[in-house]
Amino acid sequence: MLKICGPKLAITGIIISVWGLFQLVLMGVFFFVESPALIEDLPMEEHDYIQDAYQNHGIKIQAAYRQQALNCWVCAGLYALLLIFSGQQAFQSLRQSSYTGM
Amino acid sequence: MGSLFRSQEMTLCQLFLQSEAAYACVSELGELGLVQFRDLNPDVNAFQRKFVNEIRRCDEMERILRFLDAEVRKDGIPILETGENPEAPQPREMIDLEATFEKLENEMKEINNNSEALKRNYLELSELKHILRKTQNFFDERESEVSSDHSGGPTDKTLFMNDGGGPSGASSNLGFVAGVILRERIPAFERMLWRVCRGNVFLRHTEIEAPLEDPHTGNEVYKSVFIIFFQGDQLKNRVKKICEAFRATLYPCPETPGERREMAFGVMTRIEDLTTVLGQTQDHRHRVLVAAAKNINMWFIKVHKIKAIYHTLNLFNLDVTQKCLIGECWCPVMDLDRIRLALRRGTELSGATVPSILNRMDTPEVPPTYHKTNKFTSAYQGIVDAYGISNYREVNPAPFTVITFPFLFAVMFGDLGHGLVMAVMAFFLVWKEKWIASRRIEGEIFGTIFGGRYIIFMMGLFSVYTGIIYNDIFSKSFNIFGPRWMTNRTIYQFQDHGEPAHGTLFTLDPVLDFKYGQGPYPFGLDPTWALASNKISFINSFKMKMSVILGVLQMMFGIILSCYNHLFFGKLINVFCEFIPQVLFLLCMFGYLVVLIFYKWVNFHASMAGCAPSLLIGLINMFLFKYSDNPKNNADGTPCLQNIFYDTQKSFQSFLVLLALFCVPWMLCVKPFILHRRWKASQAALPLHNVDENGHAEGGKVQASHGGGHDDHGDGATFDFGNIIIYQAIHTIEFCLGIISNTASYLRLWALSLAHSQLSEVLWNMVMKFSFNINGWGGIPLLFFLFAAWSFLTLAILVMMEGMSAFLHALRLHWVEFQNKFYGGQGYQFQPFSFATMTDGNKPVDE
Repeated sequence: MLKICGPKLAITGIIISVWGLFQLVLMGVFFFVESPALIEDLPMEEHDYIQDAYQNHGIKIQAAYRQQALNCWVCAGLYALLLIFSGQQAFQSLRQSSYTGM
Repeated sequence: MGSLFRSQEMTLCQLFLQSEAAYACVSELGELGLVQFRDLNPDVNAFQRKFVNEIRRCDEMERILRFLDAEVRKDGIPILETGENPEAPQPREMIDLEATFEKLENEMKEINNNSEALKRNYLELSELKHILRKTQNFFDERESEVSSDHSGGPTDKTLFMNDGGGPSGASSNLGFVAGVILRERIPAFERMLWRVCRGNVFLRHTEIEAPLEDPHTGNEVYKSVFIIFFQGDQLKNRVKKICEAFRATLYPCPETPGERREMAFGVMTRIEDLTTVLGQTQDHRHRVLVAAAKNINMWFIKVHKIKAIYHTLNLFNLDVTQKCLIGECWCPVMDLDRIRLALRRGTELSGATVPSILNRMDTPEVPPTYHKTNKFTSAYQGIVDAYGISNYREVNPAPFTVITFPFLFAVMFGDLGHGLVMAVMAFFLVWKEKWIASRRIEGEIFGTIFGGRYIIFMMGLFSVYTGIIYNDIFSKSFNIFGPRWMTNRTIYQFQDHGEPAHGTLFTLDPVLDFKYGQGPYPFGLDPTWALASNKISFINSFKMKMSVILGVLQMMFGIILSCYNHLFFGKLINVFCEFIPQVLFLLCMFGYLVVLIFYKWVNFHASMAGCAPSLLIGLINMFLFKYSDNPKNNADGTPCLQNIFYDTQKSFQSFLVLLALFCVPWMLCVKPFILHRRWKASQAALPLHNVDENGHAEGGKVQASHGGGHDDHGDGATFDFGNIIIYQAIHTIEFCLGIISNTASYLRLWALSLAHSQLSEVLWNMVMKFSFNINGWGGIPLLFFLFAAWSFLTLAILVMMEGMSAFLHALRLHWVEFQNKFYGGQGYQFQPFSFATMTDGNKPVDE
């Protein structure tokens, strides 16, 4: 396959995508179970969710949590693709370098 | 593995080697790498030693090898890395090696000369080819100009023809030279021509697109073809001079087109012939170099070994009969048997009849310090050695550093996420260490990280541990055991079985809202704190106290280790005059503070929080002997214990302060006084006439047995009382001030930990939080890119930079605050004669 990036960029890609894969899957889970530690990260103002919780049984909050969980999982999938890509790139440059012995 | 607690016991040995067997024996010792030879002829310069001739030959061989190596690299031929380690060759093999190398060198030189000549030839021909081709264009242009009407205007081309007195006469009168010049010289060349010939010559030039190869250096150079038209012989001479000065090469260029075509044809055929010859030369050169590349590493190792052996033999003394070489060496007592075995093997190999002899000697000199380390401990030993090599056989801090160093680092770096990243990366290095080491990745930074991979791995694991205690993962918290706080009286209690049932309070009251029935959160910090607005003030108090406790414990441990040193070196006087008052001094001041910290944690309930004693002010008042009464009782009748919180507090604290103060003159005066008394007694006991002799003898013995420790003044024949007093005063002042400043210095544990957690929180809020800003599918690309940015920044700033700073602070705490309590660091390193360390510094030496 085509060789696009050098070994260093490929390794950086591997590290970040492995990290992203794990963390985003886990964060998706935490958003899904509506972890209170992440409530400050939701795209809502504080008085919004207090109001939502009092008057609306927190439906907006739940929807926001759910949306972010799905976003996280989709992103984790993207990072999995990135991992495959950069893994392939790294493998290729590795093979090349072992051939020339440099 | 030997013990790392103290350095190996060393002994000075004398070696008697038969001159036939000496080479083989030293070679065996070099493979073993456990012996440090001493130079027995320090006055003899390098040119007067016995084996100087052999070393010269080795130098010559090395030179040839370096030349071959450079040639191999120039051609980009891969050098075979077999990783095998050939034995040092026999002395007679050296002649074969020399012959081989010389033959190779001559062959290489001849090939190089030939190919250079060929290439020069080729360059000239190709330049000529270019000239013929380019000048053709110039001439064609002129022909067309001549044939066309020249009244078109005063262009450059027509101008000089007019000067020549008409179009028909112009070409016959005009002379020209053509040549090739470096492209960057063109502007200067043009200007010079213009000035010198006053504008009476006409220069045309055009670039040769393809680079040409310089035959001498092999570099690619860009050149231009030029042609100069002029009139008359005088100008011709001038132009030629200028061309010479600018290193332009001039080529004969025939006047008529037919001749030019013929010449071009000839040049083309010659170029073709030359190309085949050049190709054959290159092939030959390549074959020779490939053959050399296979062996070149092996040859390098062999020559290095021969050279090292002869260099070592030069350190030996010749016996009077010339039959035997005598050497002296330091070696570890534990390995004497292995050394003897190696010597016997060497003797057998060389076929000598008389065995080599290893003989232990007594010496007043201080032996070198040798710690037997493995790949795990060597990095920690390196940390200690960077401060100073330990004195011979004193307590080595390295085994304790293995645990305390990563732990103190982790106290400052406490974050589960960052610790995990660090540990995983270091684990990869540890896991694949053989593969990575065999790849020999260059670079100082990578080398440092790879060398410290075990330390980094441990630091990562410990950071995970402290991260769990701080309940911090990328500045977020985990709720594992269920929080111990109830929120049902606050406005944050949103729902209760579908019905909004919330309170009105904004804060949690530890008395009413804490679930006392369940006890505290089982491990680490309660996750409720993560959302509290007063999280920092709570954590600060906790971390500050913790730093003081850890600091006092580590300093206490250092002082206890100094006691091991005093006992080991038989200096009981130091135990009574230094160790005991030091322990008391530390305990009376900060030991008491640590006790109070625990007392306050255990004894003061949340309901008494307003009346709990302030430890810092209490400590200051303790030294000022200032005791004020407690304020009045609370409204509900519970006592308020702000200043006095136990009965005998005033008298006990005063006793502690006085005891600590008393320790100062104890440390300062007692030891010099006792030493003086001892010296006087010994003076009185000795008969007058041999005071001097005995005194000297005694001094020598003391030095030998104590390893030359620096506080042995006064045991010798002369007693310098002033010196001792000054030394003791410096020591005492340093210690007493040190206890206070060092305790304060341990507060860096708190400060860096605070900085780290705040920085990671800021990074999350500034970068990661925005990736959740869009409530919809548009958040996906945002999250994708912001996560990459966030993780990269986390890696660069929080893991690398903060990790580096925490590392440096942990290093300082070990070097200064811990080691100055017991560590001398005045020894010198044992540097064994070893082929393994010599041929490749990077290769790990595993046994």
